[in-house]
Amino acid sequence: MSYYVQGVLIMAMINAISVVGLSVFTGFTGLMSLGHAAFIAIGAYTAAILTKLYGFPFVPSVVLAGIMAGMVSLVIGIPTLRAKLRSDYFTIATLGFGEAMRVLLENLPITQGARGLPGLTPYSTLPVVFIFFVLVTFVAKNFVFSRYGRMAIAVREDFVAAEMAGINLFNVRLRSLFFSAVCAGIGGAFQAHYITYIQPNMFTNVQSTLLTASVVAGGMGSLTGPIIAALVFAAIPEVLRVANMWRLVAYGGILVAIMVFRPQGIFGYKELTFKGIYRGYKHLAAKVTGQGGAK
Amino acid sequence: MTAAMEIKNLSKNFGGIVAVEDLTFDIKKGEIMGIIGPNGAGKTTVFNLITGVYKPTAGTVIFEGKDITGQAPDAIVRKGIARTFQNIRLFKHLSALDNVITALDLNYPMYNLAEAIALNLPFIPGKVKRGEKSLQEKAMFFLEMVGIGDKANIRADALPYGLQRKLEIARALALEPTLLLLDEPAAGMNPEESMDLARLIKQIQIKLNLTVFLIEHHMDLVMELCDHLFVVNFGRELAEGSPAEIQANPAVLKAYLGEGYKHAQS
Repeated sequence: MSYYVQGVLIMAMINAISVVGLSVFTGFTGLMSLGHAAFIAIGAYTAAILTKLYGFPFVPSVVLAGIMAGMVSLVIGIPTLRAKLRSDYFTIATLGFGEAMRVLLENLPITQGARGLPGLTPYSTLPVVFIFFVLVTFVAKNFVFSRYGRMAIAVREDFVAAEMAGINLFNVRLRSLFFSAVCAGIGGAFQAHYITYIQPNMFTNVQSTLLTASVVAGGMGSLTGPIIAALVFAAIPEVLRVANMWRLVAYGGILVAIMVFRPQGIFGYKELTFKGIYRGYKHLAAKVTGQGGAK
Repeated sequence: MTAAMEIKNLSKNFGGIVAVEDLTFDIKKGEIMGIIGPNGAGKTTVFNLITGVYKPTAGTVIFEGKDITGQAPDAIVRKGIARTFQNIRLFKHLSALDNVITALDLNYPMYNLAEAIALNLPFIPGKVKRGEKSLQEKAMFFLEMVGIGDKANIRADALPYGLQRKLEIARALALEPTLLLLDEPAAGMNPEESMDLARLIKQIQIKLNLTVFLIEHHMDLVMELCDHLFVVNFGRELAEGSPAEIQANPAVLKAYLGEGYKHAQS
């Protein structure tokens, strides 16, 4: 595989790791965030500081980066979610949190302010990223298809009814936020050690918006949808590299097209399964050979 | 008979608007009690105050001897109170079965978070898959009880309106409450359907040994089903008594039932 393709693939999977987490939070629990870049930043800085300044091995650093992001999510999550902020107010709170985190990173001595942390070792190789991507997806899938996922969906569908089914809104929302932050932290750790250079202004609300856009475009209430959207969104800028600045326009155009033609997202509430692919393949094959539908 | 619930001097203001003012009544254990009154009289507000959706401005709610006033809804559900909603509130994108399973989880947590995320491997049966299976069987029991066992795998929002109401009852029953609050269970049903529903409610109440408190506008259902009635008007108590007493009460006839009600019945 060429170095270039490999690079695009790594970035796509790193992106997908964060998006999987956000999909659990936004798609399944029904809360919007415009500040998840902050968790990516925390993961990136935690891992970078551990490997660069303390000589920590990479994989434990990635895990600690995830845990650190998770811990910080409790700091923002506990007050806002306990106050039962309505969805849109919560979103504004995350927006503010994202900006505050960036300013904080610009001013802390250990993050070396606006200069950032250059010269990180490129540990994020395809196999490691792939293994973590599979692992995160596996955990997310198990979470979503368990009683915890069911509670999250209940909260998304109707939080009054969920409460009257004995579900504690605060616990469910905080659990999902924590999970999404851990994923973002892991994604950040990989991003830092792929680009080998981080500085605060890499983690703006543009990145937060793109993460949320991937979830919405992929399908709220689907895991595979946002994953595919994340992979596609990472590849599009590369494919459109020839178009230069116009690719941002194309990017926006694609989002608008999805909203117009498939407001429920590419996958809606459905999942792409191996069984589904097989059925679709049989259906297609039957059509092609002209022997009628598979069903 | 002892009281399942005692409501004392309950009031609720929304800003300057008095929704409920100084209501006091008991719900006796094992009875079906109805609360009736014109639209906007504050009936649903009473439900919301009991279930913790709103916090009362004044007064107390005592359930099985314990003060539950102002507690969070999920804490109140844990004490054994379940409800349905006037405007159906199902988990629309979940199947009928999953709607019930979501409620079963309260009393039957089958596995913890670590087991859920780490132990559920593809193709290998484990605690999580066994747990889910047993919940499905339990959920079927409640679906069959309200007569929609054959609709288990249909998405909640794809069910016809009447069955959605029944599914909401099944979901409430899955919480295994001792007090069931029904907010207009027969809304949108024709007289025949609402009498069927009345029979179903009675049947379930006896089978599960429930206390039922309901809001309803179908008077034939109310008079047939309820042991005891409480009438509100403009947030205040208008009358209380047996269905026969209420039908004979001139104040109720004037405010709500209409002067010709008794006549129309015979």
